[in-house]
This record gives sequence, structure tokens and C-alpha cells, in this order.
Amino acid sequence: MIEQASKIMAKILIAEDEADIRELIKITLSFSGFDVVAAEDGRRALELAQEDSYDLIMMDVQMPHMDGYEACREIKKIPSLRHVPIVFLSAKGQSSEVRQGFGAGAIDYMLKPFAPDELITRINQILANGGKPGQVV
Amino acid sequence: MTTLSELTLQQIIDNLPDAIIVVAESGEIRLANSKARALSPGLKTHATWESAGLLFNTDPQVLQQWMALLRSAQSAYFNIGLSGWHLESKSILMGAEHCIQITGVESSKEPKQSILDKQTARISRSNKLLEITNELSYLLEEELVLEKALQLINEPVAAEEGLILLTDQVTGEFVVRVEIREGQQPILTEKPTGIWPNQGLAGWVLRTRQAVLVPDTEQDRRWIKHGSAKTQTGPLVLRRSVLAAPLEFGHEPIGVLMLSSPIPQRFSNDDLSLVREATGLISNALYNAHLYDLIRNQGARLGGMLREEQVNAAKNQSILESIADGVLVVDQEGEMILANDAFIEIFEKPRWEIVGHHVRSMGEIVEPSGENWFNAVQEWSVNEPSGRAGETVEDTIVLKTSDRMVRVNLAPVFAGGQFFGTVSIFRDITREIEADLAKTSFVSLVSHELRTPLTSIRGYTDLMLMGAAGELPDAVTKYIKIIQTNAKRLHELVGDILLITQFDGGDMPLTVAPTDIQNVIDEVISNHLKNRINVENRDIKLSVEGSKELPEVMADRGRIVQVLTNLVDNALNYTRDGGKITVTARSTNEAVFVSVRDTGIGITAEEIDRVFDRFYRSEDNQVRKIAGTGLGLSIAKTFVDMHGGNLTVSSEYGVGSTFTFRLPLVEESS
Repeated sequence: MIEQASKIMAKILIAEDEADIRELIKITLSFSGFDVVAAEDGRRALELAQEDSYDLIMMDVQMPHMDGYEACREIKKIPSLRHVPIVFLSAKGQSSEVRQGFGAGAIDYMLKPFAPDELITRINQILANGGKPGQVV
Repeated sequence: MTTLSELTLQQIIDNLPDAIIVVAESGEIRLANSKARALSPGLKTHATWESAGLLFNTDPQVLQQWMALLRSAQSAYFNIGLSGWHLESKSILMGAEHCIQITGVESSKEPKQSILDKQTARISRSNKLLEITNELSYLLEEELVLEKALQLINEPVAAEEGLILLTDQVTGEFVVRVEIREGQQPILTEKPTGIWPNQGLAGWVLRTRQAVLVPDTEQDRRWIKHGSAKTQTGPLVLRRSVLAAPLEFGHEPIGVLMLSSPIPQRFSNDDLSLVREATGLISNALYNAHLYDLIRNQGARLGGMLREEQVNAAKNQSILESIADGVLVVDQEGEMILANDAFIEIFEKPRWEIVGHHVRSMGEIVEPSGENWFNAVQEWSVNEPSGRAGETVEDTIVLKTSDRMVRVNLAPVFAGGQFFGTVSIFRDITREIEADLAKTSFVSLVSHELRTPLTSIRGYTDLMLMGAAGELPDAVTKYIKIIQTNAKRLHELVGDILLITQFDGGDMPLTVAPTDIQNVIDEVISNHLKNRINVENRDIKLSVEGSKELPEVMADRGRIVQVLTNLVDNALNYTRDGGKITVTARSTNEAVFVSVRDTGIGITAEEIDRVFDRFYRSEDNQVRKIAGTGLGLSIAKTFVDMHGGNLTVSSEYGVGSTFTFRLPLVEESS
């Protein structure tokens, strides 16, 4: 059975333009006990990030209006949000793309398709380490 | 082709007062001297015999009859043709060719009998001289010239004794080089005479450079007896009458030709003329022999070098022309001296705008993108890049004229330690870059577009199996698991293909750090292999053997995990239940070795060389039954290679296979 959220009601902001996948992540995370708020692109995520406080932000890379890299950089520029760990969950898997993600300030870069249990495990590790990535497999 | 001796012969006969034509049996004119050409300006070497008719003003038919007559006879007088000329002809050997030599002597207005006598005498003298000339011209060794000359001159004169005296190059003393007695063969010697150029008749001839006839030596004050006595060999030779003429080398007197007789008044003025003219010819022949010697020695040396160079140049040229890359050679003055076809094609400039121009004229095409190359190629022609052998400059140029991307490599060229210039090799990489960009963006796009729907397929099947949609009927669970397995396969395939395109694009940096291989083995076995065995409900024995104390290697841990994962996956895929997988680690001073041994189906000897080929899958039905892409081993090998290690396989069909990878302790290459 799937691991449960280690931090009770940890609040996660997700940004994903593809509705099916946005829903999938939302269900997966909610099912594991996280409080999930979803945005449909980077620009919306940037707005939502400033309206509430989140324990973690999980973003797609390729999104309309503002892509994940840019949204990540913008969030990292805001002093009150600088400490919030940002994780990419993208189907873009070339090493240059992954490097770009870390370059934008992300703490982890996960690939789609994802295994739900692995996704939860890694999120829990990051939260447990106080915003530092756990062991990357 | 005109040879040296032909030129010599021509020069010599041009100096003769009489007209001479030599005709080959074919009717072609082999030789005509300037006197003959002056009489008939149309007469040319290699022209036909008929053109000689102009000279002799003769009906061609008569000439042909004459020719026929000459072919059968040794010689004939032919008193036809131009009035006031007397012709004599004889057959001669010129080189190896039988020819007919026609000598024309201008008649004077003397009384008839006297004319005939004089003409006969002159003709015989001219013939003799031509014979000397002809024979000597083909002799290109000094000693042979001397020998033959003395013999030839003495034939018509018939002196009892003939000598050629040359001055010693060091002491100046006259030395007898050739001597001849009437009716005998000439003899080469090195006999000193005790006479120096300031003494005696020989000295006088040498100093004044005049031929002289001494009717009686006892009446001539120039004659000294003691000298002649010293040259004596055998019985005493009395020299009462003497003919002497100087021999010259270029314009330097080198010796004296002397004919003598014990009888006073023995020689005539005709003899003197003959000797005078003949010594001129001998001098020429000697000079030629010497020149020839010089030229031959130099020529042999230069010829060897030249031929080698020509062969090389021709070879180099054709090599340069045939290579697909553009080649530009710039000499040490900065002048572009060679541009091959590929260069012309890349730069779309006519060759005449390149070759012969200074390389600075390339600026308008290559700047500013090709600045590095452009500066270096100019700099190196100003400041010789000595000590820069092996140094190269690389640059990428965007041509202003065509927007083509051109990769250039510049290198200095040294020949025998001497700076010769530079060579630049240009490669049009426009297509490569376009293709590369297209490939990268295509791969990125495809992998993204494949992964996005896979994310939903895998994610929602996982969710359902997690119970997110409530309790599922058994059949539905079974079907969804099939979807899940295949979605995973598809996912792995997309990942593998992406990896492979990254290898090909060189876009695969390693992040190396000290890595504990035992830890990698433990992780792959417990997190992955055991998990798979459990999930797939397989009956496989696992064993980890070997040293527990392995040195750390410098490696990209993630990649090594992938290598070992691929190897154990391969082992598990092809090993039947009840089999065993053994992972062994050991180390030497240089490397760590990890082996994965299975008791699977094995690989045939025919196929073992191909197991690392991409997408290679055996035709074997046992293999075909098992899902796989044929990429796992290829990827593992690539990763190991990137670490400077190697991956090898040994196998026995039906018994099992062992894959071993070696990682060097000191990184051998990146």
C-alpha cells in the first residue's frame, strides 16, 4: 500500500497544463494525505504561490504563458518564497533540460511517467530533510 | 627531344664555312648548318628532304634518284644544283641512324683544274672536320674526346707522332695526356714534360693561342730540345717539322695539340688549317664533355630530387583535389597558393579570385565570425610560427555570402624544419548542425509527446490498482495489470531510445565522484532485482560473492547503477525458474571487476559478438518469447566505455552467460 504523507496535511502547489495529468497528480497526492492546490500554468502558479504559503511546489516544465523554468526563477526571486522547495515533474528528460531545471533553482527533477509510490517517497524525503532532496534513485 | 650532343653538334657545324645537310634515310632532314639555312631560309630540321631542293635548286625527281644512288653507294659526287656550288655526299652513321651527309662547297672563280683540286681538298677537309665533329659530339667523356680527336686529326695529316699536352692544373707543367704513332692506336698517359707554359714552342702556342706550322725545328728559336727529349719513351723520336695548335676550355687555354715528323717540311698549310679548325672543335668537345659531366652529376642529383618532388607534388595535388574537405594553402608571404575544388565549392568563389591573392582578401567573407582563423592565418605569415609545429587553430565561420557554417582547422606547415606556410581545412557543417538541431528537438519533442500520454496511462492504472477508484473485480485487476506492465515497457523503451540519442549527440556528461561499488551492488540487488523477483513471482536463487572490501572508483554512480540494473535484468529475463544469478565483485591494483553470472539459456557462438549491438535480438524462440528492446546491453556497454572501462561477455549456449564489467581505479578517459 502506498505511503502516507509524512507531514500531516502538508500543503502542495502543483502546476500542470494537461488537465488529465493535473487531475492524476492531484488524486495521487490527495490520496496520500497531502493538501493540494492546482494551477494550470506557470503564471497562475506564481500568483497562487504568493497568495498562500506552501510546503512544496511541484511544476511541469512545458506550460503555456509561463513555463516551469521561468516560474521557478520568479518564485525564487521573492524573498518570502525563496525557502519553498520546488520540484519539477516533467516529461522532458534530456540531461540539458534537467540541468536547466536545477539551474532555475529546483531541488529535484522527476520524470513522467511517474510511479505514484516513488513520487510520494521523494516528496516525503524532501519534506523530512527540510527542503533538501533525499536519495535520488 | 633534342639531346645535349645534338645541340653540341649543331653549334659546331654552324661554325663551318661550308653548307652541310644531313638527311635520314626516311627523307627527313636531321641536321642543317647555318650556312645551308642561309642559302635556303625554308630549310628546317625535321623538314622533308624535298625542301632541300630549294637549296640545290634541283628537280625533286633528280634528288630522289640521287638519294637512291646514295643509299646503295658509299659516296658520290653530284655536280648539280646551284651554280657556283659543288656538292659531295656520303653516307654516315649519326648516332645509330644511317644518314646521308651532303656538303656543299662554294666554287671560286679560279681556273678550272685548280678549282677542282682545291674543291676536292676543301671537301675532304670539311668532311674530315664534320667527321671529327660528329664523332666527338657523341663522346661525353674527356679522355675519350682526347683520344679520338688525336686519332681523327692524325689520319689525314699522317704525322709520324701526335701528342696532346695539357697543363697540370696545380703546377702548370705540360703533361702528355695522349700520344699516337702513325698507324697505331692512341695511348692515354700522364707523362710530365718538364716544360712550363713560359717555355718552348708549346708555351708560345698556349700563350698566343695561335696554331703554328714549324717547317724545321732546327730553324726555330722557340723550339727547345731538352723538353722533347724528356718526353721520350723508347727509341728517340726526332721532331723536325711540327704542327701545333692550342686547346681551349671555354676561353682558358688548357693545352696544345702537336703533330710532328722527323722529316723537315713535312706539313702543308692545308694541314695547318685542318689542325687549326679541328682543335677548335676539340676544344668545344672538351668543354661539352666537361659541361656534360657537371650537368650529369648535378642532373643526377637534381633529377632525383625533382622526380621525387614531381611525383610527390602530383600525388599531393591529386590527394588534395580528391578530399571532400576544402583545402587552402597559404605561403609564408600570406599568398593563397592552392585551393582545391571543395574549397571553391564551399566558398562559392572562382579560383582566380583566390589563388594568387593575399589571404586578407578572405576577410570580406569570413569576418567577423571567423576572426580567430582569419587573424591567425595572417599573423602566421608575418611572424613565422617557429616552434609551433603541431599547433592548430580551430574556428567556426559563418560565411557572409551564403550563411553556411564552416568548421576550419589551421595548421602551420614545416618542410625540413623550414616554415613553408599554412594549410587550412574547411568543412561545411551547415547540414550537420541543422540535422543535429533537428534531431535534438525531434527527440525532445517525441519523448515529451510519448511520455505525456504514458503518464496518464500509467498513473491512472496505478491509481486504480492502489484502490483510488474503489474495489475492483478480479478480472478488471488482471486486465489493468496487463495495461500497467505494457505501459512500463513502453516507458522503458522511450527512456532507452532517449539515452541512445543522447549518446549519439554527445549530450551525456558524467558526474563522477568516489563511488562504493559494493554499495551499488547491494542497492541494485535489494531495491531492484529482489523486488522484480518478488513482483514477478519468480523462483531464482541469488548469490553475491567476492570481496567485500572494494576500493572506491571514480564513477557516475547513477550510470553504474543503470549498468548493473541492465545486466541483472538481462540475467533475470533469460534465466528460467529454478536457476541462479550470481553477482561477483573483485578488484586488482588497477580496476574493479563486477560479474553477473546466470544459468540461463546462453548465447550461441555466432551471436555472441552481436549482443551489444543496438536493437539486436536473437532469432531464438526462447529469446523472442521474452519482452525486450535489444537496447539494455548496448546502453550498459556505452556507459562502461564512457568510464574508460569495458564490458565483456562469455557464454555457453544452454548453460548460461557471464557479463563482466571493469572500471579502472584511475580514470583512463572521460
